[in-house]
Amino acid sequence: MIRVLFVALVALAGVALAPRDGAAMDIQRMTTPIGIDLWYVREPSLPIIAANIVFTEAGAATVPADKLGIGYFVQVLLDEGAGDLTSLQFQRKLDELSLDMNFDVGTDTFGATLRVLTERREEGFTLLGLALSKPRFDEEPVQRMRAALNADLTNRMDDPDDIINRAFVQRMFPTHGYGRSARGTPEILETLTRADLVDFVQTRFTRDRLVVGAVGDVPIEEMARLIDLAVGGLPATGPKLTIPEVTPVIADEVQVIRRDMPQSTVLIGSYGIKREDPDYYAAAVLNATLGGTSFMSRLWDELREQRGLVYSVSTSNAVLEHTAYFVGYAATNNERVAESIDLMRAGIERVLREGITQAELDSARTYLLGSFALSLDTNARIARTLVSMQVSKLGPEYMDQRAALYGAVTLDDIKRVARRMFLGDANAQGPAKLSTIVIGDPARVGKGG
Amino acid sequence: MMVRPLHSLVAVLGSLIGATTALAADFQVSTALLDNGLFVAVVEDHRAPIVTQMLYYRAGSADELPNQRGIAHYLEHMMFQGTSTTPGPEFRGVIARFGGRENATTSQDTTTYFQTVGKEALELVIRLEADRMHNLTISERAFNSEKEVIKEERRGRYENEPGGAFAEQYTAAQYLVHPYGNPIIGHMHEIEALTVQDALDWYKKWYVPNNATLVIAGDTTMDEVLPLAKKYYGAIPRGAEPVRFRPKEPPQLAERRVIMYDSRVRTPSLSRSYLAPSQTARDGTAEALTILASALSGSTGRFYQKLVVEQGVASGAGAGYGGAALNDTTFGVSVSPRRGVDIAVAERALDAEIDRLLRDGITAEEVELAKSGIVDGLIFARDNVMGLARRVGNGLSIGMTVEEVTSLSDRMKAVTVARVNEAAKRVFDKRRSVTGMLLPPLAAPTPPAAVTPAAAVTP
Repeated sequence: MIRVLFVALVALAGVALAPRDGAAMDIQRMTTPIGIDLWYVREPSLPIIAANIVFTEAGAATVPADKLGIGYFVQVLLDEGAGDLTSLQFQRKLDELSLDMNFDVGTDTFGATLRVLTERREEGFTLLGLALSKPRFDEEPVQRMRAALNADLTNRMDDPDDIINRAFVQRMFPTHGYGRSARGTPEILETLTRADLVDFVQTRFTRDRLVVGAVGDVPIEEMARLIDLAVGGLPATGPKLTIPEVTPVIADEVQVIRRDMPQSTVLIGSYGIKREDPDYYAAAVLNATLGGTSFMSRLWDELREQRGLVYSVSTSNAVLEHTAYFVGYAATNNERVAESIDLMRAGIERVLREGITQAELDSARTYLLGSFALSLDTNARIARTLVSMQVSKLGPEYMDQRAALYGAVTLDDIKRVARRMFLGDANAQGPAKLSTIVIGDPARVGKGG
Repeated sequence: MMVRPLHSLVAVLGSLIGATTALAADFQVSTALLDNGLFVAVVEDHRAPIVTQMLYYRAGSADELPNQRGIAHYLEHMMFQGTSTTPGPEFRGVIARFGGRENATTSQDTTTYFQTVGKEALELVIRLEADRMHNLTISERAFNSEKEVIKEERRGRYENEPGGAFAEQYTAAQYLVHPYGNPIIGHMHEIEALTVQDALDWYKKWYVPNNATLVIAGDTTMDEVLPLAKKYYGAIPRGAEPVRFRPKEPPQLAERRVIMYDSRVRTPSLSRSYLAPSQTARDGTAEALTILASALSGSTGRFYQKLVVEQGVASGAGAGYGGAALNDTTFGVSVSPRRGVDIAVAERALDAEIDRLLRDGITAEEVELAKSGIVDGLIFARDNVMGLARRVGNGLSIGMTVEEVTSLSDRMKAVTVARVNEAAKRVFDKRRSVTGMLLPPLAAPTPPAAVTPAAAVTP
């Protein structure tokens, strides 16, 4: 059983509901026979195993500029033939065994997930092992997937959402891998070779990079054996692909990308707080209050409920392995872009000057504690959470410490974090430094962020 | 989701009418019927102390009159604006404040409200949902403000997105008179024209307990749910029985083609829909079409293997069937030509595959593979109790029984090769189809827009 323990008080007479003070999951740990650190939750009520295997320092940011998109190319080819199995044979096996096997290249990591009926675990983890250690990259699937990716990338090059996202990160990280488009371009794609594919796999799919989490109904010793089956064929170590730490560059002005469309999208960037930073919890509270939650955040109320400007407005403290940044999002019709930007800016300035109220702090804290507990609702999600905790260098005891960590956040912490996030320095003063990008055909967009 | 058997528990409870406990293959559902006509279903999953409430109204955009199009979705928005007992901001904040998730969705046949919370908040969400079933207030100010929100939602989905704009035109072409051809959100001028009175009329007509299905899923039991359902929902009087009027689509005699050029489109794509019976036809066609769609789609499916892998004329190809609808629905096929291949060539290749299917039939191997995939999928589906709740709520809302909803495995296993071929012959009639093409502009595309700082823009 997954034990998620809540300490909660409910007052149903009013609408007030006391916070969940914490959540705990019964996490088991074991070092597998070949030396992999496995985090596992045993869930006997379903005949399913869900595993998440992630390679750190293997994501798109590790790729040089002239090989952009190679990680994504690998991602779509890993289940297109491996070992003795051709593309069609491999795909047939996945179908016949009802294996749900997926690969995903992120900015920092390359991940694999496998969901398999327990009775087919042997075949499932064997096939995953083939895909990771012996992908074939045969000519036919390589050319076929190149054509499919070309069509996808060609569309993306002109897709407004894609354009603004690329422009945003490029402006925040002009000289760093984080500023590059993870999927590359149609032009680069045409130059990528089989040798590039093989090189990506050999240098990044190594055991020293592995982080593993799983949920299943078998004993942990059996789970450890299955993990070894999947990763035992990988090289023990690979070259160090160091990504430098980086702080976002905040342009502090509004950039407009003109496109003939009725609704504009706005992105506002500033500084973020990294996961290992002691101020991370205060940043999460600040973000939840400002724009991180639907229905209760300040910006949601101001822009959507009070003025009907947007269908959605949101903010986040985006955390990567070697940086963090703030991003605010809104989409509104061209006539009301200036008003929307002004209101977002005013909301940020208000947090910077006044901080938040005790009631907001309490609400955000209970939101953050509760939403995490509620997110642990499927085996697949729990497996992913086990991995993300390890990637974030958190121990299993974090489950018991969350309430105290959020409980320790003070109103002064919020004010300090607001200065760090919107001025870049806890001791700085002045107006918020915001890097704003608009795509669309906005009217009357003023100067300055 | 149930692993251990669910004990039968509701049949003897006093004020119930016709309470039953279904015992079915795929997963367990307990049911009850309140005096006021509200149908209650509970799907148990005790892995984590979490519950989901889903309330389904049997009213969707296809129930709208021509002069109120968009009102089903508009009212769904207004349901978050507060009641005579709980003002809007309080209503909206209470679930989010302790980490709960909530939202709502409007389809052609249903409007659904759902919340996921810790189990200790079950009574709270039941109370709030019951409250807005009968105490909703709609102020002129909130209505007008929300109108702008909905227009932004529409702009984001349709005006700004060539794919969305195309889908709207393409879907409209499939139906001469049936309202499935209308966009759920309504057209811009229709949204503009809606009034508070339209919203209130809609609310009064459809939002009654006897027109709703309550599904509670997660770490609870009917023993816990039923007293709460009776306390809060049970206090709401039965309303007049709303009658759905759905015009019958006349026979389609001529194939239709919808071609849209858009300067924002870079690669061409083709979609085709065929009118097809839904699950409510109850003649086995829906089950056969589900298997057919599975056999034709996916990377080992016929279309992908033939058009993309073997012939190399396409970069993608697939098929899909949406059988969970009250009235006749569509079976869709699609193909995207590979770069340098004319879209007409890709379409001919697709047609040839359909002709081959009709001529030679589907193989027993294909049918078996599709079946086992669907049956295994139902085991994986048990990992997501909200998904099971959705199956129950959607199914019941289009008139299926609990037994039908929970016996998908058995119904799939019973489908024969002959039945699939029969269904394919029935559906793949080009005269009953719409072919849509979304294409790049005929002329050369405009050069990329310049990126300019705002200082250069006239204030």
